[in-house]
Amino acid sequence: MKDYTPFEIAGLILAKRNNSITEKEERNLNEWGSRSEHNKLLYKRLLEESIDTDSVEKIFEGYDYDKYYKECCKKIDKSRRIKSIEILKWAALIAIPLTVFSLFYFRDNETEVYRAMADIHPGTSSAVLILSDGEKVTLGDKNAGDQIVKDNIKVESDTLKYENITTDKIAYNTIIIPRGGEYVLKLSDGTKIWLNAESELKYPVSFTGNERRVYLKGEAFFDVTKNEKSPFKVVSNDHVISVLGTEFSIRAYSDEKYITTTLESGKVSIDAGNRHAELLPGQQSNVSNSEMSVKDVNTQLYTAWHNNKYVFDNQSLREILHTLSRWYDMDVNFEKYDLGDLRFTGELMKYTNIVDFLEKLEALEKVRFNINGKNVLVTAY
Amino acid sequence: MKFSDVHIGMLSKGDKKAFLLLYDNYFVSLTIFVQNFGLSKDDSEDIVQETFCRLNQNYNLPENLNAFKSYLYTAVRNKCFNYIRDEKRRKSNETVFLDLQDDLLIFDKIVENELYRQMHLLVKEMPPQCKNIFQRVLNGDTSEKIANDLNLSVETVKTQRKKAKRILREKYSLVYRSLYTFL
Repeated sequence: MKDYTPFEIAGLILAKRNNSITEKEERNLNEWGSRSEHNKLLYKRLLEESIDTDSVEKIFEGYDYDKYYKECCKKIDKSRRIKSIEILKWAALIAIPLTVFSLFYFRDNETEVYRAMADIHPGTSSAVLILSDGEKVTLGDKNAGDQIVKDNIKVESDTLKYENITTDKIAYNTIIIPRGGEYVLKLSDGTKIWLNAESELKYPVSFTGNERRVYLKGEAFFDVTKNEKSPFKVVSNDHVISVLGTEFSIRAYSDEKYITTTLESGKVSIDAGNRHAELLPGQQSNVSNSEMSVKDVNTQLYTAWHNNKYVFDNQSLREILHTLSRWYDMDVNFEKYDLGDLRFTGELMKYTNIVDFLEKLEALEKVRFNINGKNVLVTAY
Repeated sequence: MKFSDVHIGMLSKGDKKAFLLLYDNYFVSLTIFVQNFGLSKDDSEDIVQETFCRLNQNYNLPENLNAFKSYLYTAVRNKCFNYIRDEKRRKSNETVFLDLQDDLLIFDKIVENELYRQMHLLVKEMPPQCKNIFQRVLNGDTSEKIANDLNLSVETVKTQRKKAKRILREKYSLVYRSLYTFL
């Protein structure tokens, strides 16, 4: 009979509470629970009693380890200093130049930056909606709950929905997502659009005529409802994507050289000036003022953001931080331009603290991130 | 980010990043654990702090994460024990003193503490709306009640519940499954 640690039992109980337990794990847990009256009681209490997570969270909120962490860091520095003084004594006996070197060496070690000064947070669901009559509505106040913006325009959770709208006139709405924001939109034809930070979409409240045309600046993921009689068109300046029904991601920021379209399923065609291309699932087009290219890509890298993740594969630090700066609303500077050319692979859950991610990068390469407020300065180690 | 096996050795070397993770993942839950035995918040924090600071330059730490956690809980338990004994608070704390020697009871307390700690870490990383709903689900509320309380439609709540479940599944496969492979 296996002896379980309390950590294993806790993990199994949590898995069971969330219905993510496997059959084998459940057998193990039940076997453990039936071993003794004591086990049975604990098992019953933690599984059947309702656990009030609100109060758990409240308890956690009442604590702050910050002060204690800082104190501990000081102690670590002190123990290092004592160690270095000991080494220095010996070094002095051997040679003075060596002593000088050690002094610099150890001093460098102590300048590790403590990051509690960071004021960088993940983005939240937020947007400004401009109605056809010019009225502005702020979306994303999470205390507002579901609300009806106007007639058949309503907000459900983090999604703006247009339903059963029939008008003869074409009326346009515009939704603007700030830096550090995101929003989901469901148009009158059922098409769902995830808008990323610093983006803007102009669209009719209902589609009339023989095409469905919207105007995009920035980044968005489209899940277009199929309608063969009325193609869906995404327009960014002179770049036009035409689709019948499909899922794809487009990135068209005005401060970036290329407009990138990544196709997940279905088929899209792209027109830019007098150039034309058609994409198959798994393909991506990159269009600049002068060129247009199509290649096969791992679409995950370009679409994961609408599923709570950022995924990077061998991308330059400059690109990675540029992308993240929109979501985390931070300013990034490089002490030396070359530092931006370092390449990284990794992923980041969108709603987590950026500092943890940066520290992972630090562990991989010889860079340091100095964070002050919303500013990140990248320096060599 | 989760504190894992690889960070244990880094603690011995006084790596501040490893310490930051340790504090982030364990400081509060261990403090709450200590408070179970009737100590004040300040005293409990001091006990955990002393335990943590001693990890620097300690080259005899267990390499496996579960063994390391056991080590932490045992260390704070012993400190608690000494604290109550030394400070002559024993008379007023007779039951606590007995509690601290009851291995079965300690086992229960650790399971409970770990359950809360893991729940807290999961909830911390969810999108805000999702989190709000997920917490209520764990509390046993029905979708209808949640919808009513938060002024949302039942449909919205159901969608968010699915979202929370998906996030949980992903997290599990990454973080906790690794613990079970040897069961």
